[in-house]
Amino acid sequence: MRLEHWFYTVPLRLRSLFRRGQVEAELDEELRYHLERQIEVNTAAGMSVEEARYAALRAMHGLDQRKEECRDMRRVRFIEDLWQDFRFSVRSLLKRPGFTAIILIALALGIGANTAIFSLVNAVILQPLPYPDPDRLVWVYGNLRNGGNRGSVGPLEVLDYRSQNKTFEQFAASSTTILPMNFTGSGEPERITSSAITGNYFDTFRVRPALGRGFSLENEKTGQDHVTVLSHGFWQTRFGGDPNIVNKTIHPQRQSLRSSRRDAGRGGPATGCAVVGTAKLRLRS
Amino acid sequence: MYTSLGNRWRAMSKPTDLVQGTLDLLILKILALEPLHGWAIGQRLKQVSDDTLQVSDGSLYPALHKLEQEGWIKAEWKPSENNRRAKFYTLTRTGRKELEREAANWNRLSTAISLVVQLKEA
Repeated sequence: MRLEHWFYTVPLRLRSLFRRGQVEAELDEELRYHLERQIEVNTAAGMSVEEARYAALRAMHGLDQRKEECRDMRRVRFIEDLWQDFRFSVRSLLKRPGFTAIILIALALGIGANTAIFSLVNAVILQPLPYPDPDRLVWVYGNLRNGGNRGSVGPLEVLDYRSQNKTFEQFAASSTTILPMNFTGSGEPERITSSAITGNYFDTFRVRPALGRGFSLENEKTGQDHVTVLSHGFWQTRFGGDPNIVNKTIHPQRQSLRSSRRDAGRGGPATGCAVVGTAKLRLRS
Repeated sequence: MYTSLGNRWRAMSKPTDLVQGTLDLLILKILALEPLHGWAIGQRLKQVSDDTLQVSDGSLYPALHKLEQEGWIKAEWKPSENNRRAKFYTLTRTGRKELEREAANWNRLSTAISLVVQLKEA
């Protein structure tokens, strides 16, 4: 039923819109035919041609009004009006370029600002974290004795929490301060930033490096070779995306001379397997 | 500028001397018998109703255009009985259904009104 309705009406609407001249001509011809027939009848009844014409027109109660009513029936008046308004607006704007420029600048700034804010909100709030099961990831805070909360947790406490943990499937930590390092060796020395993390950090997020093994709890033990995971960006810029980077030795130097026992040696020559991190992690290099 | 939109979209055929909406029914019924052009429809209305139903020439054409745009009748240009090109209207399949619907409505309404009019005064 609906489909059949459209079968008749859609071509008519399109015709009213895009063949307007023809539709108008047909309307004129249809009404002219009517008037001519009526004039014939009137003259046959004894009127003069002039009288007959006036009588026929009077019977229409205003020819132009009737035509307007017929146009209203085409159901495209809204679109026609909209199109006329649009053209009128364009003409008015072209006449006042200064005014137009101000409007355009205001619109551009407004749209730009909104887009920027939305990109941020989208990335930070709307999009889920780029890990498997992002809804199962939680941030654990420490409570401070003087009433503050959302504090960070000390390294030794982290190890205690982890060994006594029954609540979480995995429990990992990273240093809250960024550790600046000097990267020497082949090429120019470079200042880089790094972060110390627990051995199960990547397992917690369930991400794997693009190359190599990553960290395991074995790497936390003292006396082990120090292992580094490179960010994708650093791998590309410093090592030219070298696919044989795994197991190469690099020499990052801790800047601070004093370092806690747990961190000791981290700044020394890192030997053993150098592993490339996935771009997903976006570790600062 | 668009406030009258609602009225435009629901435009009814409104001859002053007919119950609202009945002009549609009359046109559909007349076209169910044979395809006719506008002028002939007006003449036929006067004939079959013994000049009781005088539809003004003005209101006939907007009504025809409305019915056409609803898809109930379709138009075709053909030579008329005096050999001039005229716009002939034919009932469509959906138009026939609409005619049945409106005729049933009319019967219901007129029966109800007759019942009221025939009430005896106590």
